[in-house]
Amino acid sequence: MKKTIVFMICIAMLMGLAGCSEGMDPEHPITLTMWHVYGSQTESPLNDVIDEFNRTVGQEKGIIIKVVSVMNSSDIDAALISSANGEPGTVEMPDLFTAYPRIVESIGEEKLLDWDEYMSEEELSNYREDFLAEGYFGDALYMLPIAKSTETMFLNKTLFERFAEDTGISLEDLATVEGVMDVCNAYCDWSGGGTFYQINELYYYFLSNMAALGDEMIKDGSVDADSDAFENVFLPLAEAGIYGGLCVGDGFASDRWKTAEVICNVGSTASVLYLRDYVTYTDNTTEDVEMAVLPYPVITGGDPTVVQRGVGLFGMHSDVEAENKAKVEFVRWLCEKQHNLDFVTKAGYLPPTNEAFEELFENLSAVENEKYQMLYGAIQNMYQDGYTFCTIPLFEGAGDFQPWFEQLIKYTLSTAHETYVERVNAGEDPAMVMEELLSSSLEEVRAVLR
Amino acid sequence: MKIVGIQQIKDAYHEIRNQGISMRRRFVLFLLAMLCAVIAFLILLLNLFGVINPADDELHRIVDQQLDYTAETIFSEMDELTALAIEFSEQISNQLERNQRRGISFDKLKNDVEELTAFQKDAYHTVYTYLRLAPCSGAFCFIDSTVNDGLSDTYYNGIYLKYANLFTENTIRNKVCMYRGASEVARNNDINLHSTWQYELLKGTFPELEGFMDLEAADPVSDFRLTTVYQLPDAWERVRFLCVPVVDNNDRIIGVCGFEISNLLFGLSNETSAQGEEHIICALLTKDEDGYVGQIAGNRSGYTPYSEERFTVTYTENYAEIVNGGTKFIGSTREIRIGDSEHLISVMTPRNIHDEYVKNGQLKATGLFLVVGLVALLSSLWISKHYVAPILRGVERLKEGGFEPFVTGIPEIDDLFGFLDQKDREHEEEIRRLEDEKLKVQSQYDQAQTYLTHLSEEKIPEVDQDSFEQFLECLHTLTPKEREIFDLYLEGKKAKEIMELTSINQNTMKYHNKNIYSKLGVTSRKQLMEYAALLKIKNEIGK
Repeated sequence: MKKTIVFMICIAMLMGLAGCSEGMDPEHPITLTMWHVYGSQTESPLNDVIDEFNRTVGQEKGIIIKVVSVMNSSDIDAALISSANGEPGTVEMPDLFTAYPRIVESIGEEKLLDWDEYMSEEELSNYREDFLAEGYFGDALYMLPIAKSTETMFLNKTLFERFAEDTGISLEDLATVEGVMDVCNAYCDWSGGGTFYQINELYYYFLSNMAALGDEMIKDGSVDADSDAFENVFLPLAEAGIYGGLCVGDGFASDRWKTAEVICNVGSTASVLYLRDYVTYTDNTTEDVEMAVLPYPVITGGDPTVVQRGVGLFGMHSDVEAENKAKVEFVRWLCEKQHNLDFVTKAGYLPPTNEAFEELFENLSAVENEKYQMLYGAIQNMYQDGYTFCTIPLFEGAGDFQPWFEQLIKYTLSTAHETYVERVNAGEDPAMVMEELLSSSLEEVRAVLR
Repeated sequence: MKIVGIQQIKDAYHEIRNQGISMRRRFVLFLLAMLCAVIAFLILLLNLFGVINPADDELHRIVDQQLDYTAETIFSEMDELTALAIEFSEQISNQLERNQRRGISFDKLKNDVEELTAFQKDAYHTVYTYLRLAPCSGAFCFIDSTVNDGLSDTYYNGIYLKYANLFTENTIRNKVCMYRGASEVARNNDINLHSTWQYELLKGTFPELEGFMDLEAADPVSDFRLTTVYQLPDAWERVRFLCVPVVDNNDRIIGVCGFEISNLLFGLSNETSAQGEEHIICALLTKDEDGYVGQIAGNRSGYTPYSEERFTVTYTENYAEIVNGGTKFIGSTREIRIGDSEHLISVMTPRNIHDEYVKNGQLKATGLFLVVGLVALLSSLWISKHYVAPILRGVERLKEGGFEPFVTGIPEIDDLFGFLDQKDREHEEEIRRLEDEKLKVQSQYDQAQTYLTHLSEEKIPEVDQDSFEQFLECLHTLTPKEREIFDLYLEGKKAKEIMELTSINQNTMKYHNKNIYSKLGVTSRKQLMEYAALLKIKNEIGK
């Protein structure tokens, strides 16, 4: 009798203890929220890959990646900083997000997941060293590269050929910074005031071209605007901006590409996703256009240099260890060669691992879309032509500095452009006005940056 | 009023304690414990076989409660959106009316890029304002006009603004972009174009929304609707629209305006928060040809299932079964009418989670009732043991002897032993009385014995000692029949009685008498009887 009672009590206790285990469990999936930049409002290649993960490995292991928002890196930065500071009207930080390393300062290292703790040396050795290095803060790896990019030039070839036919300008004229700026002015004349060119990130224009000239743009956390290199980089840009062939307005080049208000731009390789194959005119008629992808223009007297771009993946550190493991599990899957290639080659990015990187460039024909094939061909040429890929400097206040600096340049040049048009229309000598405005603009910018 | 002191309560308690628990109460306790055990085991069995299922009932109660809340919230949101959309429609009507007064009739807008752009510049602020006011992810107004009716496709001119980077249910910090409209208007207002921007809305993109343009007349206050869910062309978002017609002074429909509710916004705004149940989610479904399409909102705990576009809903006796992609849910549904459109609100939980919840509930209930049953069983055993123990102790005391009173703590047993003790005393009294009587009788017997001894000692000298000695010695020579007759003589029977008792006739009797006399040396029956009497006395004395 006693044995029976003890047995029954043991069974009852076991029943009571049932369900106390914790960890990744397909029956109780862990949902991880994510904000990322891949795709903006278009059909996101990363979302497609995430769907595949959720359907397969995620379902098997009990991990659901929930994409809450897809926005550009500046907006993500702003939203993250607001959330991290708990400002009114903000929401909880996402479990995973993509951002530049500059965000670490605003969020705080202690809140971030150190990928290095969860990934073996062997796993990390598979990543391209130059891509991985950007994510290290001391020994901690807060930003894991899942896709990287650089900058190239995108050209509306259809409209350019129409313009080139009339003016004798050729694609070779777009190889140098000065050449491009001259073409801008020629286009402005040809089109009756139209803009030819837009640089998405003027900050990167200065970074890469000053580096190309053997100088550094940021010294001790501020811009060395008094250097000759700064002047050499500023003047060709300013001339095209003041003349009118270079667009110095706000917004992305891809917007003006849609309406043929700009037919050439430099920007992230990922821009290819947003540059469509047709343009729309004001009477709602459309015209199919062909795109050309060209290497990043080289400044005269400088070495071929371009920035290495691309946000990385950050994870918020969780007190629930299973959640941290789930994040790592997802990243491992995402960076597996084929999954990663499926994603990056549909978004215009470069794969972060050696294996996938080599495979991509060894077999470019495997890229299905011709436009993307052309993009990777241009990138390959840049690698073969010995381009230096410089990283974006990290300094205190770097996150706020970039938009502020770009607004300064845009405001200075747009104001100068208005003055130029006004004075030339008033009958002043264009060359003299230009020379005067170039000088005053440079001084204005230098004065602000000092 | 008398206040009862602690000491009095203590005294009362001790008194009750000293009185002990009656056998009746003990028996009631025993029966109650047994009853509890039986009920617990019965419930356990019913639970195991699924006849009763408290976990399932509880889950359904939570789901129904959440459904009430969600239905009320969605209805309230839609009501607010509709009210704003009606006001929005009036604003656009008024704007077109002002154009009319300027001499630009609605019909004259067609193919006039300049005037349509001017209309958009004006309408932009209205659309933007209502976008900011309403709990929506986008706002739009389209009119039945176009900048170019010479194109092969039909387009509708208007403005459609959206939040570019929605990531929270509040839209305070979100940038606005232009999804449809003139790029010049976007540029003037310093907003970007949506990645999939188009100048005008192509007919056939959102059939239900454009359907208003095909109607002759309508009343914005009653003829509104919530559309089904559409995939935004070339974008990753799926959205639905709350649309209200835009009418002129004659109630002729000249356009449509309203709000966009993206799947993302719906999910962020309608997260469920059922306490203790982390997998309950809700959906707003709309019937289409092959089932339902809809929007799904996860749970505040973070749980959101991987969902696909199409839902199927079937009903069983107890709940609705909803299937989305590969995931099965069970829950409750409620129909909701928004303007002239019908929808279904569903609150549900994944089937596997439900089954596990129910299984765990059953296990817990089984464990609980098993423990209760065991405790009740053990209690009954304990009570029964303590119920019998005083009686057993009493029996032991009985065996050990005596009914000396002792306190068992059970009033009935104590009464019984009191009673037995009294009876014991009475018996002892009776025994003592009988002992006395016995002594008395013994004394009388001894006196009688003494008297007989004296009597025999007096008589024996009167008879011939030799004849009497011969008589005694020859007794064994008698035959059995003769001895029988001799013994009957000794008992005092007459000759006639002896003949009847021994069934002999008179001659035989005489024959036996003659032999008896001869063998015993007596000559008459009188002598025989004297010797026999002496023999009897002698035998009595010998005893």
